[in-house]
Amino acid sequence: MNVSSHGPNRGALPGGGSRMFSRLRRSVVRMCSGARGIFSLAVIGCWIVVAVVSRFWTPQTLYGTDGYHAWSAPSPDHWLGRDGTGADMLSWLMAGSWTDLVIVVLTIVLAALIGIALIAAMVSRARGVSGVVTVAVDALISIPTVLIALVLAVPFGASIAVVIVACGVGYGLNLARIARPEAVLIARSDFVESAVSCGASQAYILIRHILPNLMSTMLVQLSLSAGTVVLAESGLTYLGIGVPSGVPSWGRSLATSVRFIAIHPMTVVWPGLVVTLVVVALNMFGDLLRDRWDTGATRDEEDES
Amino acid sequence: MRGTEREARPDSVDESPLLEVSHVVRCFGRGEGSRAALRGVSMRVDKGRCLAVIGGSGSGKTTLAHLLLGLQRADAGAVRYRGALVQGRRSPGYRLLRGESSVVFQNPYASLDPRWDVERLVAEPLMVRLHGKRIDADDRRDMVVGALTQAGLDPASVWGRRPARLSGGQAQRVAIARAIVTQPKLIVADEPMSAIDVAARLQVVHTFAAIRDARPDAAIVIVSHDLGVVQHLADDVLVLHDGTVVEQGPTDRILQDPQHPYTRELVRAASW
Repeated sequence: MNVSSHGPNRGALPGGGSRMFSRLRRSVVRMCSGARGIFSLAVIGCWIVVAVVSRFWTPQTLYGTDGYHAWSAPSPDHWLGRDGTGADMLSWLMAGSWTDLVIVVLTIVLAALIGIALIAAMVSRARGVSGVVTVAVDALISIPTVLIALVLAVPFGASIAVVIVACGVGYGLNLARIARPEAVLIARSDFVESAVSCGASQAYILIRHILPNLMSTMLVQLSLSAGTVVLAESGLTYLGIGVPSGVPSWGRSLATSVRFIAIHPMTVVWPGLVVTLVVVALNMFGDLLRDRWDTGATRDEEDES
Repeated sequence: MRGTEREARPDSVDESPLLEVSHVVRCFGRGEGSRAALRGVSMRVDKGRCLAVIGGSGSGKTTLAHLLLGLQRADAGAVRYRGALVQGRRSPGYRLLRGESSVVFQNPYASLDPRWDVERLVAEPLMVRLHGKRIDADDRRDMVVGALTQAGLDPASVWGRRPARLSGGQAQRVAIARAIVTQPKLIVADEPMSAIDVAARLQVVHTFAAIRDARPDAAIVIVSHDLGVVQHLADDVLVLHDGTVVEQGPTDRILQDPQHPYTRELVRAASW
């Protein structure tokens, strides 16, 4: 075939790599267009900004508490009042947002890594690997996250790492279990066979074909997990095996106040409200990402402009 | 019709076959429920010839196509590509075959990744075969444009589109462009016309005829149950029935003077 004779056609063809930035911008604009998008991006945006700001500045010091003013009502100096140790609620919630952000991000990264590794093994063409891993995942998934955390907390004590590892392992297993049927279907599809027939390696097929087509399922599952991590952090901290005492986190704020809910309800309402808002926003954000990813599959460049 | 179109094709074949299948058995399932899809199939694919594999549903056509491509392993018997044994991913024959063969599947929408655009879909075999060796973007683009043109598509009209935005005929021709972009020695098409509408089918037949004439060196294996297509495209015919080869030979002889009762039935059904 004489390819050079097609040279003149080249000018008529649309450009290649320069559309990345405009596509990204369009995606963000599209996501902000609905009420759900505005809400979830606003909440998550505020969370990240507050978390970063809290590293440098909080309205009051975290540890210079004053026992004489424990449980004091909101005032111009202490917008949300003080907790049972006399510490400023707002400052602790701000500082806690950093801890929770770190926990959520690291847990999701760990869950994604474990999930992807397990999915890779499950769709592997090597004999026996897929069956063994599938059975192992089904067996391990029956162990509750709390139990993993309890076991880890025995040698390591209560720490942020315990929350991250327990949740990361639990959610990674969940991710693999939920994505498996779809991953297997994709791995057996004609387009994967077609790539295999070109001589593509298993790693190439996983990265270029299976994971991109699996992404909408994974995004939803991971965003659900992100919301659940915030709840799990609160739960594990309340049980005494999560964030250690003295380290600010939303779960810690809840744990210190929850026994006094009948007397000082607002000290529980504020951290509870923050947790609820963030969890709802994360779930909505996951749905938006999935919708965006799904439409991206069938839409052409000209449709998006 | 065939005689005039096929003047340029070699009548005599090279002595050594491009692909040779001997006494191949392939079973699915285990124990009591196991079923043999192929029961001792022997055949050869010669350089520069177009071979049609015909047979009814469940006759083992698709299994044979997968075996020819090394995508499935034979339970018994041997597949040899250019004399080298194709058996498992590490066999030398498998590697040769991967580098020099390509496939067109039945349903173009299933055989093209829904997330990829036409440019990337057609360029994929080039990128994979070169194993990371850099290929100039302009050269690659020219090769993709060349393959699309040869498959009967106007590159500018389909460029950048994803499979869902292509018609059945266009999508199947993109799949064909993908199959020919690396200039393979062997092209295996597994019922390439059966999942698309009648008008598109004609386009695809013409595309295959054009490729056959433009690439006299390449061997083409078309799995089909449409005898009209077979008559138009194939030099040789192999008839599969219930996992065995019941008849094989030049297209004219098989279609005009079928020997086996099953072939006679197929030909009679087609002439209805």
